[in-house]
Amino acid sequence: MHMQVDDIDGGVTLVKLDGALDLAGADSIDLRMSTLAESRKRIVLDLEKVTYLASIGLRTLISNARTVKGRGGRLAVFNSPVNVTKVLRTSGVDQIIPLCGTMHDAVTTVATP
Amino acid sequence: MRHHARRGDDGGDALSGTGPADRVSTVLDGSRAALAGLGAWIEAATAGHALPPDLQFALRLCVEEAATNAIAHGEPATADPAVAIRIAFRADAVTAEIEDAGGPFDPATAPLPQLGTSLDDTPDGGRGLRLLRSFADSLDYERRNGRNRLIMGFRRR
Repeated sequence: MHMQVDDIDGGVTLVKLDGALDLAGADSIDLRMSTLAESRKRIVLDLEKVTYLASIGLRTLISNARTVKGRGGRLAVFNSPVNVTKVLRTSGVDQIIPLCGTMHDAVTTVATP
Repeated sequence: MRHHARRGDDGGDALSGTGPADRVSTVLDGSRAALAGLGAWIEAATAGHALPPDLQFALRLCVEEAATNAIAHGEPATADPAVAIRIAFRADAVTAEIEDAGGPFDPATAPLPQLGTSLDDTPDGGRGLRLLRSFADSLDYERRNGRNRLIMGFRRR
């Protein structure tokens, strides 16, 4: 899985994920994601290019969102394809990590304390 | 992993659906490495069957979640940690069968873990069963000869 990190306006970090967030995908981003979660406070994750998401990937999202929250920050996801959205909703993850339609909404969400 | 493929054989076992099926199968050795390679195996095994994208996604998700469960929740003392996976393709449906020798566990009726209401009280895991039940069109479980057998059905729409 590919991961691209950009610092954008307002102290927000934009992370674009590309590929399958399965066991192998989670292994490939876990270290960089946890490093970000321990150093940035406002993170938005672009899921547009995520082709697949399984419960192991949900684990990665939840643990990093919790780390960011523990430091007084916030993590939101946006642009998720239909099936990825269904995984987030079915698993109840959309109740604990904000699931936004657009980058603008996600940035606004993480900027709100 | 051991891989097999058979074509044009309608063996008449418990797999549902009608008409001849193309079948593929593999056996995971119960290791994390085998689980990590499962996604690529499914992608390769389903290539050429022109599955609709939603079916492809659901099939992969359910096979991975069921295999993850079988490996993660199998009894450590189990003499046989192997997990067998068989997929049959028919014109109207795809079925996937997962078989293991772990303790009795029925994913179709097992109680769902609590999810919590915030990041502070939610567990990191425990979501696979919800995904299985939502993404598979049917789940049939049987315990026979000391083995769990889960048959998941996916309709072609």
